[in-house]
Amino acid sequence: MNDGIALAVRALHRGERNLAGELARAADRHRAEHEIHHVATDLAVRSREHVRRIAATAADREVDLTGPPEAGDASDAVFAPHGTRSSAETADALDPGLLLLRDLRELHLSATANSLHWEMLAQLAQAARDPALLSLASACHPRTLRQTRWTNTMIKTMSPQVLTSL
Amino acid sequence: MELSLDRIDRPWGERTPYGRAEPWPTRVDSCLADGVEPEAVARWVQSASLLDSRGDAMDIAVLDGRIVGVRGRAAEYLAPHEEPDEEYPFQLTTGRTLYHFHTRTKTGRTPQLNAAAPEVWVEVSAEDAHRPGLGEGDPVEVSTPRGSLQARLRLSDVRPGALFVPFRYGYWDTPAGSGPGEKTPPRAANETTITDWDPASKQPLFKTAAAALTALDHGGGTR
Repeated sequence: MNDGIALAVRALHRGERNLAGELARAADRHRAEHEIHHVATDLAVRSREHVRRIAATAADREVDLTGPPEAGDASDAVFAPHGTRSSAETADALDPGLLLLRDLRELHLSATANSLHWEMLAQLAQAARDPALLSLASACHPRTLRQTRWTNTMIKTMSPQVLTSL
Repeated sequence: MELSLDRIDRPWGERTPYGRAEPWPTRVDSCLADGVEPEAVARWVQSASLLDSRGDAMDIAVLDGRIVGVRGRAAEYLAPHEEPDEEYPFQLTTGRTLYHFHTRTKTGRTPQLNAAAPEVWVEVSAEDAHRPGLGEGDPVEVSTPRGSLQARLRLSDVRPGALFVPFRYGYWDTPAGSGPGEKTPPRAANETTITDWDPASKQPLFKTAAAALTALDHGGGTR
């Protein structure tokens, strides 16, 4: 199978799995913020669905999703998932509002990375004349964009409150 | 000239969002009743709903002369954020009553209207009421993870498993004035529902909650 497809599928699998986890953690951490709690929970379900669909596609095409990329395959590391940098240890020391803004920023960046990967996969699918792959990207990408719109809107809503009250 | 155009069946005629005789956009989202497969739908009727900026509207699925679903840019289905369980076995929904308006601050001061519906009540199906031996007019408590209210029972044709409470009743006309008190049992339906809203419109979600129904004795304690 095409190496580029394997690369994009693996990048998306890691990215969506990562985002599902981040959303679930944010939903749990910000229970008192009702909209964050409920919508992040719903959006995590979408990412988990994407993970399942990507895994099914990978199984059809014998792309190995398990384990770390093979040693020496540097190209996989190019699309390493976003959002592994924020250290959980500092979380307790932070102002809850700042922590929320930080989490929203990370969610937005992770979702944006996924969105770009979906775009790459969609373009690749068209170039490779691969309708199954194109329909996967067309089905999932709009929902990833919805995730980025929500995180952006929440940052817009929360920033003035948080940053003027410091 | 077209001789007869069924405006119910084809409200758009030859027109589409892109002009006369241009193809309609492809629709992918659909929501059909349980057990109905897309292939089984007899007709997809283009609805006369307003087009959004992307130029789409909804189709209505018809089977055996009945509406069985929609297709188009209907929002994706999301399961309720709180489902009934063992502790809270009922699905509580809230709504209006004919005689009152908003929080009754006007209609509650109109003697005839107030007399028509002076107190909050709970509607339950006869099936659900008879099992624990409850009857019309019995005092009950409806409780959810957030709070509770006390009211008289009405047997009605709500579906089994559901409870209905009108949301009109607050505390402005009670002895306590602003909340439940010694002579004012809790009665505000919206304080029992989940704190949640639509992320786009911010419309609060006062319509679903998991709830428990308990019989009260006439003094107000649980039986």
